[in-house]
Amino acid sequence: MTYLNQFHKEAVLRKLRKIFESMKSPMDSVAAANYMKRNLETAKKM
Amino acid sequence: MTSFEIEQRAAELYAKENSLWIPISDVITLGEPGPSGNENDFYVSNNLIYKVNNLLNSGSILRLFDKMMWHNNLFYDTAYSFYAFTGFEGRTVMPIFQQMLVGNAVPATLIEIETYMSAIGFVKIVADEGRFANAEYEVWDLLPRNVLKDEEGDIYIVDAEIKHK
Repeated sequence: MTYLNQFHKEAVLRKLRKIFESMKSPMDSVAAANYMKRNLETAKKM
Repeated sequence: MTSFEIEQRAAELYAKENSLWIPISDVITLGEPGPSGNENDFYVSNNLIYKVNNLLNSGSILRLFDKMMWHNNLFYDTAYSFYAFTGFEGRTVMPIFQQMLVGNAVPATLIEIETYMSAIGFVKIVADEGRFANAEYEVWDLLPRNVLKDEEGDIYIVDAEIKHK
């Protein structure tokens, strides 16, 4: 892991905390797959 | 045999000797199928995404592992970890990587991506949308389909093409 600057370090650690917190109550797999598909469809239009 | 074929056979042998081989027919058991891309088939369960990479972009397993190492160096919050190999025995071998799901997020805009990359010290390559560089790396394909933004505005680089200079 390379921290490029202080902002990068703080952002990475903050994001990891959020991701690990979300792992405690994982999304239903079907809901997660649909969420990913929705995001891809949205991204294609951007 | 070509170097690619040698690498394929070596990977298959290594996987089977180390209990890291998943028959292609069992890949569906990894989770719910997600959207397929050019390079990856996705499966998701318990907030973990399993990405079966067909080596289309990297061209070789070793080059893909290099890319994953560089990704993890730069974007540790969306780090990839190697999970197993799969494929058709004696023919195609594909690595499977695991990545934690970023929930409650939407695709980031190009401006949001540019702002984040600038904040971590990357310069935009003007001629090519979604391409950035610093002294050590060149990163591209940073488009909305590969970058997420959560409710607090944090940016997650989920997938990227990376070259180490």
